[in-house]
Amino acid sequence: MDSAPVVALPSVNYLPTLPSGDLFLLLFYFTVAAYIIFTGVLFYHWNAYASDRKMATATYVGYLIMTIPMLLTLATTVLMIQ
Amino acid sequence: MLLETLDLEEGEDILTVVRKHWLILVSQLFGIVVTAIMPIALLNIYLGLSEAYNIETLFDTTGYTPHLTFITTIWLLFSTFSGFIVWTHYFLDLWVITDRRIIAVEQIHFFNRSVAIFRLERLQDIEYSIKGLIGTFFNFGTISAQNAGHNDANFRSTGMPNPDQLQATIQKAMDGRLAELNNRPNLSSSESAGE
Repeated sequence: MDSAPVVALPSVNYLPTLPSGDLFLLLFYFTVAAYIIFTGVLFYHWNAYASDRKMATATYVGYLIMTIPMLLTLATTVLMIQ
Repeated sequence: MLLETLDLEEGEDILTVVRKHWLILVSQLFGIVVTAIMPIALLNIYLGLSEAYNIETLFDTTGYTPHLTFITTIWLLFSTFSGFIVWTHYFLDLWVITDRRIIAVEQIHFFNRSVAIFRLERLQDIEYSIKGLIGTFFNFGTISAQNAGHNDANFRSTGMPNPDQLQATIQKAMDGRLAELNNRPNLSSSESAGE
């Protein structure tokens, strides 16, 4: 019994290849967008519903002090990766 | 601000503002901190042990420091978001007890918030329960009350600090309110009409 010849099909790359630098840049943009949305939501809630203005201010300051260095780190590393 | 928008009645005084026990906040934040640190710590331990014992690692991290820093920072940033969500829900979830009403604000999620107002003269059967070792040790528990005439208008809140004192405060305010209404019986109907 003759076996059918095996035909090697050309491989198809379905996933578009993206350079590592561009991928991280895209991730950075997504993160910045998420940060802006989250910050808006957080500030809106504290501004509208907090019962203590001092605590609201402390929360704003604490939030910015904690998150801005992280954003700067992200920006710096994405530049290094590029 | 909340207290500016509560629209208190004329002569209504705020007796106390109560939030959940601080241990509830600390335990939730602790979980987030552990979740934030754990993957980074495990990766560092793995790489450190591999280097110390000359074991070949599953992946070569040489030259990928910026990539690892980037991923780690994103992880920490989103963990920080989680921490602020917990803090916001803790702080905005509160009871305002006045000499006429209990205003129970429940911050479930962002954009999911309920505010219930219970008049003291309509409250009955205020109960509290403290369960478990931690609740007993730190003195927090569940407090609940029924609103007379409305079966589904009961309120219940868990993790309230000093529930015995809170019950006493509400009971005292209720007694004061009922005494005031007995002295001026037309007061309640005029206030309810103004609600």
